[in-house]
Amino acid sequence: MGFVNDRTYKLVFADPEFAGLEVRARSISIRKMLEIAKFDRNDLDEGQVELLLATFAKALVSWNLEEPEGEPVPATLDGLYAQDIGFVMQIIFAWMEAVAAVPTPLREKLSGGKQFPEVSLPMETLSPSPPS
Amino acid sequence: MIVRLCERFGCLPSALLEEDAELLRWVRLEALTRPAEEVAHE
Repeated sequence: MGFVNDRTYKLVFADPEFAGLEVRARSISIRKMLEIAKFDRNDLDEGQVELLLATFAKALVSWNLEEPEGEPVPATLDGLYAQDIGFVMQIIFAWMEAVAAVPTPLREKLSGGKQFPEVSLPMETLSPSPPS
Repeated sequence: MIVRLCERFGCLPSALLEEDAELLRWVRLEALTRPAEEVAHE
C-alpha cells in the first residue's frame, strides 16, 4: 500500500474576531503557491479571487464554521462562496502564510530584531526554445 | 530562485514545482540564518 501525504495545517486565529474558529487545510504545490502568491492582495480581480477560492477549496479539509442558525457550513467551494468574501480571504491568506512563510516570532528571533531584506520569489523568465 | 533551487537539489524545475510549498518556508528560514549581505547577493 502506497504512502499518502495527508498532513494538514490547523489554523488557529489570534484575532478576537475569529475566536474559536479552527480550520484544517492541506498544503499545495510550489507551482500553485507561486501562482497565487504573486497576486496583489489589495487589488484582486475577479479571476484572481476565483482562483484563490478554487485553490483553497481543494486544500480545505475541515472547519468548525457554522451559520448563525447553527447549521455547519460545508468545507467546500460552495461553502466558501456562501461566506463574506473578506472573511474568506483572511482565512486564505492565513493559510498561505502558515504553509510558506516563516512565522513572525521566529523571523524576528533569527534576525535579532533587525530588518533583513525580504527574500523575494522572483519568477524567472525562461529563454525561448531554440527552433527545431 | 527556482533555477537556483534546482541546481542545489539536482532536479528539474518541473519536479521542483510539484514539491510541497512548505519547501518555500524552509528556504526562507535557511536564508534568515545566513548573513544579510550573502542573501542580498543572490
